[in-house]
Amino acid sequence: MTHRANQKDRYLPDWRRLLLPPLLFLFTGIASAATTADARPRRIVSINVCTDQLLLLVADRKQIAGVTRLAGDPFFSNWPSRAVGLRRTSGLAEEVMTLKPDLILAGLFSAKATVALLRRLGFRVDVLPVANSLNDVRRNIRRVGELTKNKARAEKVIRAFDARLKRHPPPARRPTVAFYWLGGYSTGSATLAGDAARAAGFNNLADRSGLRFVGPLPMETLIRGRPDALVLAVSRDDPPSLSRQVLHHPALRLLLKDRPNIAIPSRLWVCGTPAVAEAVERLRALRDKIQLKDSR
Amino acid sequence: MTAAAQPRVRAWRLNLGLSLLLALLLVASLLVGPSGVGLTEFLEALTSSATEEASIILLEIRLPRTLLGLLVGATLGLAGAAMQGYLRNPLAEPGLIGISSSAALGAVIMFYFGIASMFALALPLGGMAGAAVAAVLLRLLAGRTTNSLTLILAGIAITSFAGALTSLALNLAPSPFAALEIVFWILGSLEDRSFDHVWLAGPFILVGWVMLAGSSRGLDALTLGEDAAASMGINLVRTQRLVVYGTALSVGAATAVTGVIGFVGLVVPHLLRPLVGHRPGALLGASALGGAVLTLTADLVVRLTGTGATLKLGVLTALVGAPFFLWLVLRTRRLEG
Amino acid sequence: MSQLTAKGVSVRLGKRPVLQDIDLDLAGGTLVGLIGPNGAGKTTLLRTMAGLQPTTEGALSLDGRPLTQIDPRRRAQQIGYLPQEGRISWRVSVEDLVFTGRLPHRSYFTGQNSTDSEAVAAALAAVGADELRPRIATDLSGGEKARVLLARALAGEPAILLADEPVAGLDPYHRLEVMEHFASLAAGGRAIMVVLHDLTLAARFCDQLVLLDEGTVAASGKPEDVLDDERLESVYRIRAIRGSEDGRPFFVPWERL
Repeated sequence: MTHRANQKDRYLPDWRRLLLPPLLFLFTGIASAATTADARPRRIVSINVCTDQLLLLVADRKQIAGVTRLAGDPFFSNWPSRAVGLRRTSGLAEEVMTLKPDLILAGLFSAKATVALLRRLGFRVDVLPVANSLNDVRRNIRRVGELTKNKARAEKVIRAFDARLKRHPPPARRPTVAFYWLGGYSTGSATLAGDAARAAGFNNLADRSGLRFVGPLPMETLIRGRPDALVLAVSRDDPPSLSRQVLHHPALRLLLKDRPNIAIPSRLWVCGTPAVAEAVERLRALRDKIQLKDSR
Repeated sequence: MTAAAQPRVRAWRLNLGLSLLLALLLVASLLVGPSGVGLTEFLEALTSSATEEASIILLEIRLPRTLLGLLVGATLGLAGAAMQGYLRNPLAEPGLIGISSSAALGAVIMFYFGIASMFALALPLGGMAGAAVAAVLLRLLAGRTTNSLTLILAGIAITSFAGALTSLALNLAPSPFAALEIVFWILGSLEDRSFDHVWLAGPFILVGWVMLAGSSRGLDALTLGEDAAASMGINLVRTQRLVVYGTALSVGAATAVTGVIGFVGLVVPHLLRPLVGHRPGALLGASALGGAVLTLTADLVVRLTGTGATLKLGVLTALVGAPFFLWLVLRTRRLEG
Repeated sequence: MSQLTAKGVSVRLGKRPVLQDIDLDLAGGTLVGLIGPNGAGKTTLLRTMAGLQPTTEGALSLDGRPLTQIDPRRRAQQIGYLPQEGRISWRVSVEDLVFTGRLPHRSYFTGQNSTDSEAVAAALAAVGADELRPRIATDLSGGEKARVLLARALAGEPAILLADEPVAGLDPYHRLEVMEHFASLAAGGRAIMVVLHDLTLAARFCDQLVLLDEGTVAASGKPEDVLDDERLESVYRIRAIRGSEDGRPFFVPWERL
């Protein structure tokens, strides 16, 4: 309970602080976040569905004091069953602090106000960057291993991840794939999905139109680009949504008729977790199908 | 004699009632939250015998949120009433002159260039910078005249431009998360705001209030048109500046810390106007109280519906506000038709 | 008694000259009718005299002091102005509306006091609008509204009252009633200038008439002197019938020329 004592010191009302420009507060917050890094954290709370998953893979169950509600939702999380029996929170500061965490994991895109408030209250919050490549996934796993003092387990997870990725030989020819999802959006090579496609032996159509991140891909570009295969985020069997509308476009239907396509669930690569290996495997299966067609 | 004093008494009673309601909501707002800290701990905190954790929850998490709800809600109500009074149009709202959309854009720019992740107050500071730019633009576009049409047109131009840039940022966002984060922020929320936000926005909001309140004589006089108001010694240029810059300061700062919370500034003055005898000056105070009451109520509902993170305050106010507004319009038409 | 004087006043709106070299005296105890065809500059002259329209040349003075040097609120306590456009933006009660006429006498921090209440009561009584007190101003008929707006201007108890077409849209009964109020107010020592299109009324009630034509004073003086046949022909392009009743001259526009 030593950290509680520390925290009390930081919290004690120091009225001089009120006179300081508000900007100074955040530096005190950042400084305090770096202090208690030596001891093995025993009450870790994650407030982001991406850090939830890495925490569930790398840390001891006993170390985890809380994950988010989404961690148990099979639509968002790849390991919903591991969240069973753990405390699941709203991820809001008030609920998180009652769990008396000694380490809080947040994603870069977690609510900024919550992260700032928790730091202000003297809690140690680590913000994990977004994984935009398979390497970033390894880096984040390693980072969670370091933060939670589970380096060996993190390396083991990484090895298993690498082994799964290496199972296939590099392709003779690199066919072109086009990502087409969420209302005509596509994804370039500077994203995790793009890197997964590269690892699966595909060229990405988005690269040719200069799209590095996520952005709209005009249907004309898509058709003129003559991709060998398409990756969709939604299939026509999904519940109706605005983004599914695009699949009913006659031009796209024509394109889909004589080209293989798959729908890959977004949970596999929305967060940088080892689950992205499954996306790579599915993409490789798609590529094999194309090469089978080639060789005929 | 008694007849002459009647409207005053009515407004006084209304303000007292709203103040009591507001006091009740302020306490309620301190008592509700996911940790289950409630009345017992609150009473203990009053006698300074509460656990440290409970007092942190009450003083560092719920108190700033409550205060911001009060500040932001009152700002929206007050600015809405002032804007409607100045433009003599019950459909005017604080967002009309482009301040809130510019504040939102300022924050979005912070998101977009990743500055928001670099330090905690980047977002509100960006928002306030956006509001300041809008105020300068308004001055350049409509500063020399007291013509309200010019002001409205300038406001529309700024709003559209800021909206377009916000959409552009969404389009070009480097990842779907970044886009989602921007969207969520714009929707407006009081979640997990700290005293940093209160100290940052509070002074601007208070100065804005003083300016808006200072316009009340001018607004009363404007009921009879600009010439009549000027003939009664009202400085129309000054009145316009008080309304426009008072709104820019208070609404800009409020939007910068909470995102865009819609409908409060439109519905509250509309609702309370008959209760103060339609006097635009008297409406200012009542509308400020009413705005705080509505915003705190909505924030309580957000918290009580449990799943905290999914329902945004700005969405709720619009969800409740829009149908209510429709009902109000229909009722008014029936009464007048 | 107050006196409002215009000396060599010219006004341009944009590039268009609207008033040219106007000399005018409005003294306490007189009811002055400002007449002239449409577009002669009557409203601009009235606004200029109220201090709402800056002059291009010349100056106005109130009891010898330049009008521009008087603080707007002090000026408003002295000069009341009733604009032609009688728009009321909100559904305020008649009482509240008339109370706004007290604004020049109230600072931001003082509320309504008994002086205000008495002035409002007196103003309402003066236009015979006592019974309208609790009514909603926007629901009133045209005549009622005109009287209430006049009461608003009177509530400020100005020594000088400038009214722009206060009887437009009123029926004969209320026209006579309002003009009688003006006459009695003038008799009580106030200086009143009223823009009128109704020449019959103007001749019947005003002590003096000022005839404005294309931005200049074409004539001023007693009604029967100003409204002679020659001027009616050259300025208004009409012919009128005259007569007298109870020893007072009357005057009815009869045909176009």
